[in-house]
Amino acid sequence: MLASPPPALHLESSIRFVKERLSRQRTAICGLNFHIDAAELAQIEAARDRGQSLYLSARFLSDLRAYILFPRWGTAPPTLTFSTYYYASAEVGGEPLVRSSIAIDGDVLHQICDRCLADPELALSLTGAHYWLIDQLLSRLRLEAQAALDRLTRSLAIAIFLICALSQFPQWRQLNWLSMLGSALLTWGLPKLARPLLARIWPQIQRWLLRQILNGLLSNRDRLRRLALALLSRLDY
Amino acid sequence: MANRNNTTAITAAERTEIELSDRTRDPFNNFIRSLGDVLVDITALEVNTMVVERITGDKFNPWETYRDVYMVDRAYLEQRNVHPSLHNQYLSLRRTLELDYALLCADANSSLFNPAMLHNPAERQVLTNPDLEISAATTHLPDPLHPTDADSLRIIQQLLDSSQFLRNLRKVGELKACLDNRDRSLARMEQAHPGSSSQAIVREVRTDMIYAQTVIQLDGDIINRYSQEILDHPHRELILQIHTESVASGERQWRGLLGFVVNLVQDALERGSQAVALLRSAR
Repeated sequence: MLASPPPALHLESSIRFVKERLSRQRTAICGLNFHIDAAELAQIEAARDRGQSLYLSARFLSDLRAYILFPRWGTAPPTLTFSTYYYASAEVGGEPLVRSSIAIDGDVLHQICDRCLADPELALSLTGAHYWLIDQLLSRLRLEAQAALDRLTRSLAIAIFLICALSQFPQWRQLNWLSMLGSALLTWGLPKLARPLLARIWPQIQRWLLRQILNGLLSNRDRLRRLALALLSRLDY
Repeated sequence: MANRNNTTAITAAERTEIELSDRTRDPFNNFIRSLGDVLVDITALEVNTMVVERITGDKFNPWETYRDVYMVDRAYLEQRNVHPSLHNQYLSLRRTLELDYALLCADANSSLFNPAMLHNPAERQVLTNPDLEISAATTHLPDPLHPTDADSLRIIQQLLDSSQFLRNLRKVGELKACLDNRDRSLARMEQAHPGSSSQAIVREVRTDMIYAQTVIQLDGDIINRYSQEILDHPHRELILQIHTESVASGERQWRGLLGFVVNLVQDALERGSQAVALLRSAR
């Protein structure tokens, strides 16, 4: 029997985007902060050792993609900054101890706070956790086209079933078993037939959709950008 | 020759017009062009590990950074009592910015192309003289402190709109922020130990400097550089261990970021010829 993968680590409340308000309606993401305490640090180390992944919601991933594709300064190439805040106790903490700045042109700058070095064990744990969190985020950026295709065919099957069921609603008292059987067969078979066809035309649909999304995402109009973000999150999962 | 210059000028003007219309009409193509600029310039992955006294903010404001670096020259550093051990590093950052501007002005494909940069010896000094010290008399960067008219403001905006210039400006800004922090630490240390020599103070302040740098070139060469100060650092082994981890994770993370953007563009374009043609047209 195959062992199931370990459950994903949930740290939603510890990972926060740094947002800057540009106007009443517009905000821009200018960084990502990890706020962790000793217990979460231990959880991250255990997750890394067990090969667990970090849970990331579709909405979060969509915001992360927007952070990369829509930089605060329009023409500036994407540069991501990640800072780790460590809270040794409820009273201590509140300042970043590790920071990474990763530019798409290949410039990577890692900064570590001097006072962190006084405790070498903590320094290594903290930098290890910081790098693991960034790894988890950046390795999950790619869109899952296959998942979107599966979802589309599933939705198609449900839609066909509902259409068949509703079309027969008036005659439910005099059920025609033969037509019910036909509908069931159609519900079961059509998605199976449609899948190879969709798989063939899906790249074209996806390409068109992606272009529209990117145009919306990179547009200066806020409504378009919001719509693009919503569509981008639907493309995944 | 005049004819050739004319042709180039028209091309540059046309290019500006196309870029402006693209920006408003097709943000996707504009994004592709700026990405193309970045991809063409990638020659190596550079990972730096720095020990800092305090990690400062994330926000990058191109105008502020440009203005603050523009002001730097020897007179400014002396007037602000910046520690003498940092003067050369500040001046080197200022020269980097001047050089980036000169390269843009010498590039016939740039909207900032200025033939004078190639033909006038005074203007091309920064390209030919590695020891040139930038001052108010030798700078050719547009002045953000006293813009004379709308046209000079437009040139600065155009400069800050160039993805190539912005990329370098961001890096220069990060390094200047570290120098500023180091200068503050040195000043504090001098106040705390008034009798100590300048060299002793410099040795004692161990923060806000790059201790280790690894450059992984696309042809496979790997270059490691270490600051001389790391030899005396009490946590030398720890810093080196952190740097080794930084390099391994930095490479993975950069690949993740680059892979996502390039794949997204490939998926959105017809794979192959169109993608290549658009990326090439970025240059």
